Amino acid sequence: MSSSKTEIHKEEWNRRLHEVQVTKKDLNRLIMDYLVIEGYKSAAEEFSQEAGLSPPVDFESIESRMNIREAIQRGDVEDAITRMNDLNPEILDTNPALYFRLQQQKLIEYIRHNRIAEALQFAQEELAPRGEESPEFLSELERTMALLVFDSASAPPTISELLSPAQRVKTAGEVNAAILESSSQGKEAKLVGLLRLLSWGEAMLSERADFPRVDLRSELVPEKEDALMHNLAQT
Amino acid sequence: MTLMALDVTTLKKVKNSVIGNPTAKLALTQDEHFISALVDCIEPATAYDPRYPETPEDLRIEAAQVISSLAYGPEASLRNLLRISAHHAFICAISNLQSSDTLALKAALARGLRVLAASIADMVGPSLWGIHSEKPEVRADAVIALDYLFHVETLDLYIPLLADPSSQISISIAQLIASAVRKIPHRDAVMDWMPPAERTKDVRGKRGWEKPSLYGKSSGRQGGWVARHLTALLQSKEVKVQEAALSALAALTKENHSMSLGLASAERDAQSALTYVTSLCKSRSTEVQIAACLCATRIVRATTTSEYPVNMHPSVVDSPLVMIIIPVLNLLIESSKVSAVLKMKACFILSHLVTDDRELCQLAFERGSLAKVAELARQITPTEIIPNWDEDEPESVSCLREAALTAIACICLFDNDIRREVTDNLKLFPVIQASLSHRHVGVRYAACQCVRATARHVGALRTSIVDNELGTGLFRIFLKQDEDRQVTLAASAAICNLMNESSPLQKVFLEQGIVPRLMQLLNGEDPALRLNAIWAFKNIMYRATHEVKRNVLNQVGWNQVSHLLTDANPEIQEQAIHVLQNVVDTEENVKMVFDEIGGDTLLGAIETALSSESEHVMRHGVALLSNLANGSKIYQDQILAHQELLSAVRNCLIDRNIEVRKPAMACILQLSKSNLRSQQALRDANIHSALQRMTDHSRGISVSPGGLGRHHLGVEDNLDVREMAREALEWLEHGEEMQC
Repeated sequence: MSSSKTEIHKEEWNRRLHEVQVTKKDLNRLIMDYLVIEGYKSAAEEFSQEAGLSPPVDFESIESRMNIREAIQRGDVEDAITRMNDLNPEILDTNPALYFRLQQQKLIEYIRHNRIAEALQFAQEELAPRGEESPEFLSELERTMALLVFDSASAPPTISELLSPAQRVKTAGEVNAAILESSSQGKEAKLVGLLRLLSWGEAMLSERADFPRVDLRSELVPEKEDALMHNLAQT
Repeated sequence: MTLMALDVTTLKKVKNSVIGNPTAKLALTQDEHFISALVDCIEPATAYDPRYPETPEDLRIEAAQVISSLAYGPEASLRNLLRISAHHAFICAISNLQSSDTLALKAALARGLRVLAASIADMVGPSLWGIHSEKPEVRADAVIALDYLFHVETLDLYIPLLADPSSQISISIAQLIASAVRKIPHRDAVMDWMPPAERTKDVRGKRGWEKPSLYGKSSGRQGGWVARHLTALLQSKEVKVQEAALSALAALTKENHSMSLGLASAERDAQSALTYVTSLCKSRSTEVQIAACLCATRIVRATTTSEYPVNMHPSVVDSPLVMIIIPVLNLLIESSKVSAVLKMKACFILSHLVTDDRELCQLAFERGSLAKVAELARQITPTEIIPNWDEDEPESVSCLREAALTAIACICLFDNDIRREVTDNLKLFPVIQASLSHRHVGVRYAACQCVRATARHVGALRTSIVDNELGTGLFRIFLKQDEDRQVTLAASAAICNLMNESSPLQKVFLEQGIVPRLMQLLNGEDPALRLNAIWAFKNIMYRATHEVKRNVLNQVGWNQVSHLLTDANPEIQEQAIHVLQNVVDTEENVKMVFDEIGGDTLLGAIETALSSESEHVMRHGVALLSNLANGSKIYQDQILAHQELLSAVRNCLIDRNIEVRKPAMACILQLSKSNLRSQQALRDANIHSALQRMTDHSRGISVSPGGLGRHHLGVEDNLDVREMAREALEWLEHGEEMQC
C-alpha cells in the first residue's frame, strides 16, 4: 500500500535539527537535574565544578536522600525514618499513607528475619492503631499479617511478593518521590520527560512522514534499555 | 512516662517516635511535666535572666521539632499544648532571636509557630475545605489563642519574617497566614499591618482636613505591606514559595474588596500582583495551579460587590480572569493524574467561583464544568449500594465526593435547564441517593444541598425525586434526632422546597409525621432552623385544601400559632403571619382561623405586627388583614369594631414605604366595599380624612415623597394606591346607593 507520507531525507533532517537553538547551558542544566534527582551526588559535585553550574539543591540533601534510599533497600527502616525526620520532619506527619508504608516495611523485615514475637508485638502496638485511625489501610495490613500464616513456600503470590526485593524498591521509590515533592523539585528528571515527549512527537510525525530516526537502543546497555522502555511505555 | 532527661539524644528518639504516630502523640502530651519542660526549652532563659545557663541551640531545635509534631496530632494532644501556652513560647523565642542564631533554629521556630497556628485555627473553625462535624462548643482557650496571634503587638514580632532572605522562613510565615487567617478581624489586622516605623510616619503624615482614602489605607500601594511582600514572593522561581504566597493572598482577599483592588494596581513599570496570579494559574505544578485559581477566584469575587457603586464594576462573568480559571479547573477535575485532594480543592474552588451568581453558573455549565464534575462523582461512587459500602472509604475520597456534590448543587441552583440536565441526563440521582446515607457529615450535607437545588424544578418534583427515593432518604435525615445541626439545616431547606403545592411528596411527608418534627425545630433554640421550619409550614399552606390546613394547624396547636404571630424574632414573626395569609384564602378558612384563635387575640396580634420596626412584618400584617377582610360579615364587623387596629392601619396608609401603603389601601378598600358599617368606623379612625387627603390636591399638604419621618403626608403619588383610595372613598360616601 502506497502511503501519501512526506519523505524527509537525512540532509534535510539534519539541517532542520541544526536550526533549533539549544544552548550548552540548557543542556548542562538538564544533566545536572538528572544527576541530582537520581541521586548521583559525587557526579553532581564534579559536574557542577566543571560546567560552572550551581546545583538546584545543596549536596548534603542529595546525600541524605540517597542514604535513606539505601537504608530502605537494605531493610533498615528505623534508620530510614530517623534520617527522613532529620531531613524534613514535615513529611511523615503530613503523609499518613507513606508512614504506614514504612511501618508495613518494618513489619515485613521482622517477619523476614523470623522475629515473630517482635513482629506480633509491633503489629499490635504500631500497625493496629494506624488501621484504626485510617480504615483504608486495613486491607494492606491484613495482607501483611497473612505472611505470618503461610510459610514461604505455600504463600500465594499476592502475599509472598511482599517479601521480595521489589517491595523494598517500591517503598524506597515512594519515599524518594515524597522527599522530592516536599522540596521545590520535580519528582522526575526532566530528561525523562523529554524522552517521553520525543517518543510521542516521533509517533505523531510518523503518521504523516518518513524521517530518519535515531535508535537510542543501539547505544544502550541492556538494563538501561529496560528502564528506557519502561519510561517510554508510560507515555 | 516519667521524668526523662532532656538532652538531644533523648529528644531525637522522642521525635522519631511521635512523627507520623497520632497514638504516640496523644500519649506524650499527657505527660505534663515533660511537655512543660519541652516548652521551656524553646524560650531562651537567658533573655529573662543572664544568670540562667544558655540552653544549647540544638536542644531548642529538637524541642521545637517535637512540639511541631505534637501540634499535628489529634485534637486532644493540641488541647494539652494550648493549656501550657506553647504558642506564647514560640512567639517569645522568635522575638528574642539574635543575629547570631542559626538559620536552623529560626526555621524550626517559624515552622513550629506555623503548625501551632494552623492547628488552633482548625479547632476554632470555620474549616477551610468542606464541612466538618460541628463541635458542641468552641474551646474558649483556642479562640483566645488565635486572637492573640493576630494582635498588633504579636504581629510585630513575626510578620517581619515574611521578608526574611531565607525562603524556608518566608514560606512558613506565608503558610501561617494562609491557614490561620479565617475571620474578618484577623484578616484586617494582617492586611493593615505595617512596620512600627512606618506607622508613626503614617500618623504624622495625615492632616486634619485630609479625607480618608475611599478604600482604606490598604488598597493604595498595592494592598499594604504584607500584600506587597507576598507579591514579591510570587515572583520566586521556587514552586513552594509561589504556592505559599498564593495561598496567603487567597486567605487575605476573601470577601476583601479593598485589598483585591489593591492587588490589581501596580507601581510605575512593575506588574500587578494580579498579573502574576493569572500567569501562575497555568504553572506546570498542579499545586500552584490550584493555589493560583483559588487566589484569582477570591479576587474576582471580591472586586465585584455591589457595595461600591462608585467604580463601575462590570459583572463578574465579564472578567477575563473567569475564562482563565474555569478551563484550568476543568482540566484538573477530569485529569487522571491529579490526586483526590487536589481534585477536591478544584471542585470547591469552582463552587466558590459560581456560588450565588446566575451568570457564572450558566457560564460554568456552558463550559462543561457540570458534566465533568458529574462524571467525577459517578466514578467514585459504586452503582450497587450495599450496606456499609462507605465503611473503609478513605477520607480523601469522601471529601472529594462532598466537593463534587457541592459544585453540582451550586451550579444548578438557578436555572431550570441546568437542573433538568442534572435530573434527566447526568444520572446523578443514584450518587445523591447513596450520599444521603453516607457516614461522612460533609457528604450528607452536600447531598442535601443537591436535593434542595434540584427540588426547585417542578418537573423534578413530580417524577425523578419521587422515583429515586431521594425524598425518602432526605426525610430520614430530616427526622434524625442526633444528626449534625448543619446537615439538619440543609435538609430543612430541601424540605421547604419539597413541601410546595406541586410536590407529590407533600402528602407523603404529612402522613409520615413531618409536622411534629417541624414543631420540634420551631420550638428549638436555633434561629436558622426555626426559620426553615416555619417556611416549610408556609409552603404547605399555600393552596392546600381546607382539610389539610385544619389538620396541620391542629397538630401545631392554635395556641402556638397565636404565639408565633407575636414572636420576638421579626423574621419568624413575618413568616408566621405569612403562614396565616396562605391559610385564609377562602371564607371557610377565615372562619376557622377566627374561631380557633379567637377574634380578639388574632386582631390584637395583627395590631402588634402593624407597629413593628420591621417593614416586612408590617407589610405582611396588613396583607393578612386584607385577606381576613374578605371573610363574611361577622368577621368584618369584628375588624371594624377594633379601634386600635384601625388606627394602626391608618398609620400604615401613610407609611413612607409604598410596600406598606399598598396592601393597607387594599385592605381599606376591601372593608369599605363590603360592609355598611364601615363608614362610621373608618371615619372614627380618621381613615376617611386620610383618604381624602391622599386623593385631593386642593386639600392636601404638598410634601415631597418621604415626607416627615416615617409618614408619607400629603397627596399619594402612587397611581394604584390613589385609585384604590378614590374607589374606597366612593364606597364610603355612596356605599348604600352602590349596593342596590
